Amino acid sequence: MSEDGENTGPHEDLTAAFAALDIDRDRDRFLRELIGELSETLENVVGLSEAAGFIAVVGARIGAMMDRDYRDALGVERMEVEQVAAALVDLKQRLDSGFSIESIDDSKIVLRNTRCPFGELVKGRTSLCMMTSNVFGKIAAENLGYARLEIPESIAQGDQTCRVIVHLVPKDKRDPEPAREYFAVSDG
Amino acid sequence: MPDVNFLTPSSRVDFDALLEALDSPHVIVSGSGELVVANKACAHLFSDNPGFVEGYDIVPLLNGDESLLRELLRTALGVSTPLPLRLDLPGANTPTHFQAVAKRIAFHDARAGVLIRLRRIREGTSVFAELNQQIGVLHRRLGAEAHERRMLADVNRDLERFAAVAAHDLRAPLGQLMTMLEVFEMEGTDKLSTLQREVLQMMATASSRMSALVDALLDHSRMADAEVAKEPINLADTVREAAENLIEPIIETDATIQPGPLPTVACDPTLVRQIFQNVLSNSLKYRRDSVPPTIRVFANTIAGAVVVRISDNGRGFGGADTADLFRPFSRLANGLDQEGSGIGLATCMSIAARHGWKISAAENDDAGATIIIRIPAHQIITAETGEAPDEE
Repeated sequence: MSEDGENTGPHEDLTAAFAALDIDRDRDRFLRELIGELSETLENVVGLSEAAGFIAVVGARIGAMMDRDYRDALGVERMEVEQVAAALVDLKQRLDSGFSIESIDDSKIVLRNTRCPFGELVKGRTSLCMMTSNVFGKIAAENLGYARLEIPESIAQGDQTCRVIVHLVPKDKRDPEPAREYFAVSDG
Repeated sequence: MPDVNFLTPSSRVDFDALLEALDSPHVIVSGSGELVVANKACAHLFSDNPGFVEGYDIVPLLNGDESLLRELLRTALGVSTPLPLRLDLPGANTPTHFQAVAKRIAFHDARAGVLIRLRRIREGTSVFAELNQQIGVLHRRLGAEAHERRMLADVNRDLERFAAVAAHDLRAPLGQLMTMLEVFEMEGTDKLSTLQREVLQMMATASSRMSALVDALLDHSRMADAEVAKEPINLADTVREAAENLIEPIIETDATIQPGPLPTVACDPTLVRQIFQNVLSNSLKYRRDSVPPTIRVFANTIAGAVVVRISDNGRGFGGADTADLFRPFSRLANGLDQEGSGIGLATCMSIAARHGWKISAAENDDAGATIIIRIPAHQIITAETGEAPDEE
């Protein structure tokens, strides 16, 4: 330690030298990496179908928190379909993704995304899309009674953009296409 | 009583039958935890609890954080994805643990409940912990076996070192003894009695045998420790070189050696020549009376690997366990009339192992024996083998 009390020992020099290294990792990247790795590990260790259950629980909790934030901020008991679409786009933009509304009608909200908040880390990790699906589904269902999420295109699967369809009417029971459905629990 | 009559009387009959057909405990609850219906396997779990009644909240009957359980039930009610749950039932002494899956189920009147399927797990464990424990047991057993193998390998290495040191230290006094015997003979044995001359001859023969044994032991220990310098070698050339080193006994016995097309492999030429030399030497030694030895060396390919066979028309092994042949100092009962150290095949085994090859022996159906060397595919440079078809 020097006379003025500053640390100038070899450890401090090394620390300063390492801090100056050209490594692109900050808190944001670390957290994205952490979630990506957790998600991939969950998929690989317990399998995608079981991982879906865990992710649904996490997504439902986060979705409920975000839903409450928007309703409180807007001062409404329930959001209308346009408000729901705007909330979904807004929450994603706050997370640095490129969501926009492609179309809205009574039966569905269609969203387009050009930039994933997980960046390159999302590629091959479809369980991260499952998280988006659960958050969107929870918010849409709690406000509009029902939601069914479909992600026909995704950056995670190698597409250029993501296309997210939030169906607002229950599917035809004869439709064999598997889909993740969400229901308003407060009515249940 | 809360209204949980989710089922019409007729559909209730069908639903009960469906649930009863399931062996494992199943229960349907409302999103706030009231019991709708349970099968007998589930009801049996709560048989001591008077609170397990249709329409009543079952969450307080379970161990754990009530608010968390209710939140999970509500989450399950709000999504079509089945959710994993962990449930504990209190018992008189210890709780019973379950892994469960909760799935939203919709009824005819658009109301919905949560179907929970329970699977009992061992106290204080999960399936993961149980599997982990089993893996731990296996791991410990494998560790113990590996430890024993290491101990055995250490003992074998010590024995080999001892044999090498003993052989090395015996060589000098043995050499002196043989020199002195030669001096004795050079000086003349005329003044000795017949008995003395015979004893002297026996001493010379015995010391000569001992010298051969010491040399074989030294060769064996050198081979075990030798550095394996691999280069591309055609095995047919190696067989010819080994035969050249045995030219005297080959002429003496009128033997025929027939090397077929053999592959080129990555190996140490000196060490591998020693294998062929030892095996050919055995074939020459353990020949049948009045039958000139014929030794065929040929190879064929099996699943990419090459199998080289050295087959003779000699005495065979006389029914001995062929695995024993490769142990040091192993001598066959039908070969005791022949001089030998009993180390030759052990040396072959040691060299083969250093190359990652496998060596074994088999009696021929008609006469004689075959030594079989298996060389892995990745060591084959040119698989030039005979036309013998794949077998095994």
